[in-house]
Amino acid sequence: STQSTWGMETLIGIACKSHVVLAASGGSGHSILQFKDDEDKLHQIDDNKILACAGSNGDSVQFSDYVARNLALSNNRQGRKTTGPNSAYFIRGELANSIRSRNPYQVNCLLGTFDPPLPELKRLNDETHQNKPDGSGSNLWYLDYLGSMQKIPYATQGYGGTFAMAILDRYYKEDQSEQETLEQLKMCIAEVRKRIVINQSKFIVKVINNKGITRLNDF
Amino acid sequence: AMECIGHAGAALGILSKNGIVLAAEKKVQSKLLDNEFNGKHSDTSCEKMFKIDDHMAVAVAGLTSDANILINWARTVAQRHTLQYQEPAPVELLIQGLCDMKQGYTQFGGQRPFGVSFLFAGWDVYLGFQLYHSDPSGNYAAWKANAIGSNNTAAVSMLKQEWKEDLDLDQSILLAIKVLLKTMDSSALSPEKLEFSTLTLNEDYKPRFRILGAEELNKYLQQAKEIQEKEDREKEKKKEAEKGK
Repeated sequence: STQSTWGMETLIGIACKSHVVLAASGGSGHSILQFKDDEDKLHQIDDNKILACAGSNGDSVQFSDYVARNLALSNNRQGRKTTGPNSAYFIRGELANSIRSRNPYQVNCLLGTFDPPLPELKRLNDETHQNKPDGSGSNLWYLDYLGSMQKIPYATQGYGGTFAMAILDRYYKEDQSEQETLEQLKMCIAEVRKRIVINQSKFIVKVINNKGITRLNDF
Repeated sequence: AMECIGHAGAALGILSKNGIVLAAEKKVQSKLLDNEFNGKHSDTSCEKMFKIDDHMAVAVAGLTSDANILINWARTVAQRHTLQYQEPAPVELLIQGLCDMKQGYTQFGGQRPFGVSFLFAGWDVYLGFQLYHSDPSGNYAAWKANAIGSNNTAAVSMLKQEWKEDLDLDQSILLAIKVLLKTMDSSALSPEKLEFSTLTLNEDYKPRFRILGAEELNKYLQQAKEIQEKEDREKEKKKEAEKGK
């Protein structure tokens, strides 16, 4: 990629039954200079979806804005919010097209959503007193600039991510509480700060749950 | 375009709480017509009805050649959406796409509009079972029951009287037969003159489009006949009672 700081920005995402936590390193700059240490890379593309973008500075904002506006248009056309999987597949499609173009977006993303149940499936469940999957719950997708996409319980982007993954492999449980998730996140960030050469500055952290999106105090 | 649809074979659609029935009158009836291809009829189309995707189907009234273009277009739109979003296309979105195309033909290029009216039956996770009607102008609306083609005004007024909120699929099929009997030219109905299809949901909440075979249709026709005879007898009884007074 054109940027010499490729991989130096860390993104961490953890999805549990009742919540999704996303964290992003706040550093933003050019070559050896860091202009900011509190850049918010967790773009809220809807009131229950966050797209975390890392990579080229301009590309990440351009891409997340583009995605957000297209999803908003879709919302307005259809009279309802897009679902998590809908957005994920749309974003992946855009990245897949982009990599096959003359000037690809150089962004790696994590998409976190917390979805309400799909109306008709919920209605059928209520009617038949069943508990079949109705599309509700937390989701986390790993999307990279090549157009690959995976729905996984916890994911990272950037060199620092490798260390965070190791910690999450050890401690993550699907039904853990928000408190436990944040404890694990603290451990991850501490490890990233310890092992990655560049100064990782602040980490912006946001939670998505049934209350919506909340920004927590920076770590 | 509207005129030619008024002369085309009738088609009607009825929304029930557990499915949608599409019924149509075959305009071309001949012993020589081969629809059953060695006993196995198609799962995706017949003369008046076409499957667009697993969760959507249409009944057509008007120029068949025009209809084919639009149906092919609808099928492409459906798959294009599924390619990008990995989900069945929401019914209304698909119809909007189709109607936008039809509207284009009325405004640009000096082309003539498509001489077809459609009745769409579809199911999606957002709005459940839906029935839409669209005409050559590109207008569309959602309906609980509607009819297109010849004698559609008579059919619609009959549906208005007889349609109820809590009809189930079997009752809707019988209602469709009743309406067609009144509005079609023939006095008796047989499977060769009719096409019936249903869109239903199976246990795993998966939609399924089925074209009814001759045997199954016969059963419903028989049932409808018995119900009609029963109603006629009761009407007669009432008349006698009135006369007696």
